[in-house]
Amino acid sequence: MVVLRQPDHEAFSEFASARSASLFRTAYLVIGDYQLAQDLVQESLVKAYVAWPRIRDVTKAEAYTRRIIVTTCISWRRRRSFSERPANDLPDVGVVDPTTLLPEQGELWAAVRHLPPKQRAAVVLRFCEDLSQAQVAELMGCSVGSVKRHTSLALGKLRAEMGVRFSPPFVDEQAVTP
Amino acid sequence: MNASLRDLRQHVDQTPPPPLDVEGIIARGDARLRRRRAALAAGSASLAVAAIVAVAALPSSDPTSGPPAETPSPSITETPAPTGVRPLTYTDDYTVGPDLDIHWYMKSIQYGDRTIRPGIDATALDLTDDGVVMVAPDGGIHFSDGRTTEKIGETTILEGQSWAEWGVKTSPAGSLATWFTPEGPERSLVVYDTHQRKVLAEVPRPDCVPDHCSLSAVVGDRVYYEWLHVAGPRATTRLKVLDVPTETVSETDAGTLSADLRFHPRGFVKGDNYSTGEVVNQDVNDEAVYFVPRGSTLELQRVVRTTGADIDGDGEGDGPVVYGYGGFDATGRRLNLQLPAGYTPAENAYVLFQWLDDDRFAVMAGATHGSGNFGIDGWPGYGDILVCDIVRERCTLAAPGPDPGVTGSDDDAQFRLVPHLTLPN
Repeated sequence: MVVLRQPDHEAFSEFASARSASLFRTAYLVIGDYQLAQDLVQESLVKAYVAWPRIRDVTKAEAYTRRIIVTTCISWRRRRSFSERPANDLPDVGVVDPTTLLPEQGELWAAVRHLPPKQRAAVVLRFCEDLSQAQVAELMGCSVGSVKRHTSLALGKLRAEMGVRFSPPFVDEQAVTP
Repeated sequence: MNASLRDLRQHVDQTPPPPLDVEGIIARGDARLRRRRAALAAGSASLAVAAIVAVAALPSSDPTSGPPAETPSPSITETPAPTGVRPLTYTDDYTVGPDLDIHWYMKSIQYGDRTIRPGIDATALDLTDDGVVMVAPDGGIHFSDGRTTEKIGETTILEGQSWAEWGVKTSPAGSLATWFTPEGPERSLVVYDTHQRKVLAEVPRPDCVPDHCSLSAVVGDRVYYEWLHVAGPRATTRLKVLDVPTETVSETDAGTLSADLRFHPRGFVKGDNYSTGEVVNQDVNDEAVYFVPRGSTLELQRVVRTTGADIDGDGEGDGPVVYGYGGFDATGRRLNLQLPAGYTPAENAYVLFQWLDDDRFAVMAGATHGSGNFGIDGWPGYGDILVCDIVRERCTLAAPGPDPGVTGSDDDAQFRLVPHLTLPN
């Protein structure tokens, strides 16, 4: 009789409850939509739960789940692109997004949401989450060079879209030629 | 007012996180685990003839549509495979083309607890999450979901080569199958989704004459292929990648492919150090993934170095090879795979040919690739299929090898055909 190892409910519940706010912040930044971020956190935690018996070092569970969030987000966006047509304006979401209470960031938020998934992930992880290039590469499952390229492209697009209204970060990525 | 990315962080920090339904997450996770267990049980059941007969004799769960018990069993059962789980797949039921070329008439294929009866000549087998992919000797690409078999595309088979070495590629997970269409000005790289049953992308590649382009890997929704660029007397191999959603092709490098592979769960890292080890998946183009029995465990094998000694005296170094053993799964967990208790392993290496899900993979004893011969009959354990579970840290004998039959020449050997590996030719 084959028996798959059962995850430790208590340890997982403790982890999920303690880190949900932090994980949600990452999800919200990379996917740019409050409702989708909720779904993204839930889906990523389900994956983490299934993999829980493999995670022997619980201190690494958050990093592992965060990596699932980033790659699942990229995967979702890629898949959605099969059936969605590009649009100049994102449709209004039906669910109230608490961040709309801060309209002064709306233009930048919209511009970030328009970025391709990898570019958006790279730029928000690097400059909103303050992660190093190596940490971003680890989360995205790509090389540091790819992170630099995605970040550079993203910053270029934000500058092009917003002009002087965008305050770019002063970092090496800006000098990288795509 | 100017806006900075750092402000966005504050913006999001002020957003109240939504309540988290931990119990709901656990319930969904448990449901996925139950589906895996069901698939595992279904795969085990398929290996017992008595169980197959019993299943075939049982009426369907829908009493209004199920056949009576005395009705001859259909070619398939109606148990759907859980999404993302690939049933163990192999066949011992075929006939060989009279010319002993690369023609294998697939009478039936064991597909978990189903028996698929494609009834066509095939040069190779492969899998997606949705069924079996076969390529006919005329280059026709066929797909069977266990209910119907249909032609989904066409490619070119080079004389003396099997398609798996260059022409059609699937991924260890997902629904994508890719191939180059036949040579000519309209030649293109096609990406087909066996779940949606449609072409997702078709990119013109007229420069890809058959022996100049070979598919390397399908990773997520990226298709990697090598392109032999010939300029005068010089020829260089370049690695290209097709991004399927955008249908854009760009040049890339082996390091990027390796980094891409590293993140996906259905693969391994060879070596003593997870960070610096070599990433491998199940591909056969460069090197198949071999495991060897060592004591009571099955170890991932890697080539450490070749001594360069010229054993056969042809002026070129040809061995011996120094092997190392051991490695990691995609999460960095060191592989520890116990062989079945009481099992006598084959002397030959075991070769990875299929992932069943993210935790379980199947290996067959005695298989090689590229040499055109799966083994020599009469070797104990030849053809045994083991299913190894990374989490449970053990392997089980899922399908004992076929009866070797009469001993004699290789032509008399009883081959077992499995997906992905190059078939004997």
